[in-house]
Amino acid sequence: MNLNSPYFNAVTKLILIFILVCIPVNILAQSEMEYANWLFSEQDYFRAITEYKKLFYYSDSNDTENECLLKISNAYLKSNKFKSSIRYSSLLLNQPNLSVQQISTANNFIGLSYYGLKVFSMAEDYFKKTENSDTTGFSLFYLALIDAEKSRYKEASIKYFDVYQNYPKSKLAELSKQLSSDVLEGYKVKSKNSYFAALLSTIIPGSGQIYCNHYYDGLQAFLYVSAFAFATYASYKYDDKFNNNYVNTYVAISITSLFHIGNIIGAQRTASYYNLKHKQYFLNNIREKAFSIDY
Amino acid sequence: MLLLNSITYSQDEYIELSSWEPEDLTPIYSSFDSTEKFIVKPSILCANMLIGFYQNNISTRSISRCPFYISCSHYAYMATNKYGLLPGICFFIDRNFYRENIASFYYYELRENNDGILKLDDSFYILGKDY
Repeated sequence: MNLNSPYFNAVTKLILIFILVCIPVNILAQSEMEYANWLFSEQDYFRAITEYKKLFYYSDSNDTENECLLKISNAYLKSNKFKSSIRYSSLLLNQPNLSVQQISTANNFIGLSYYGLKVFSMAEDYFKKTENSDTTGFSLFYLALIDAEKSRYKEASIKYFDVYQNYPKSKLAELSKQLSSDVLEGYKVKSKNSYFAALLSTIIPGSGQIYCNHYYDGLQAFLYVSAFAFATYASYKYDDKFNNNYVNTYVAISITSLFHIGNIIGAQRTASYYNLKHKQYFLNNIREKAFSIDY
Repeated sequence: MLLLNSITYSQDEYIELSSWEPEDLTPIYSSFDSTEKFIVKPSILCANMLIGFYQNNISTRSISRCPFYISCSHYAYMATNKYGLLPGICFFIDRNFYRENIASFYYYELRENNDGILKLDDSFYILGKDY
């Protein structure tokens, strides 16, 4: 072989160009994905999204693009940017040749995003879509959570128990077994009847608020309405004795009525707020446990 | 050089490079602002004008006393526009005369406002279940 021939030089140059251009690009792409994954694991989602988007833009491979879209959607979900998460999962679902696992994951991300947006009916639809194809049990697990949110505690308990029975080797199994009994405690959550509270405040101002344990509110409502009622009575006595008309009385009655209706509305709202607050305390406990295992 | 800068960082490109997502720019109570269709009545317009006058000319010259996340004047504005003038006044009376007391800090949860100050969140009373 003649080392000085032009043919050998051309081949050497080609090999060098291949080494310098092709291989480092691949290594760089691989290391960038690792770097993005590391940022994601560090919970630096904003920078991770930038890196995944960069990889998505420069990638020629469908697999890498799909992986990037899933990661972007997940990173948005983790940073509570639910609408953006839905957008990227939907983009992924429009890609051709997706695996069953990818479709299931994308649907679950959309479901979790709608859950984050408190649109439970939409979330339920997306979890139901993947209920049969999902091999991890997460879809059923999240469906149970939606049931709990909608105060269907018995159904939620059954679903959690199904997860425990159908996916015994899953990391969700033990937690699901525990949640299937915990969620039934929802029936014992304290609640107040808002109409009864309104009725109580109609009869005795402030008593509806006191019924809902808002003692100061009740006391203030009682004092204000009583003071205006007394002022109305005094106006009536004054008009009856010194005036020919009852203008002062009418004005006093109007003001007292506004304060009394305000007190009734307040009692009804306070009872609803009391129920919501206690339900949220209970559900926060369930949510905390449910999201202690990462999807 | 200036010309080069203006070409390199044109307004369009700046928006494109911005780190904000579209949903970052939507207000917190977007559900209330965008979906509610206010009934325009003369009485409500008068109430809005009075509240607007208070907010622009009186409130700005005073210290921020209201402990709630939605200020009392804005609460009155929301209540009158959502429920009408008289029910709105009743809502305002309930908030301002009955519920604003020393025990409020025990009943309501804290929420950070745009100025970074923690305020009491009683949004449920005006926005209902879906807020």
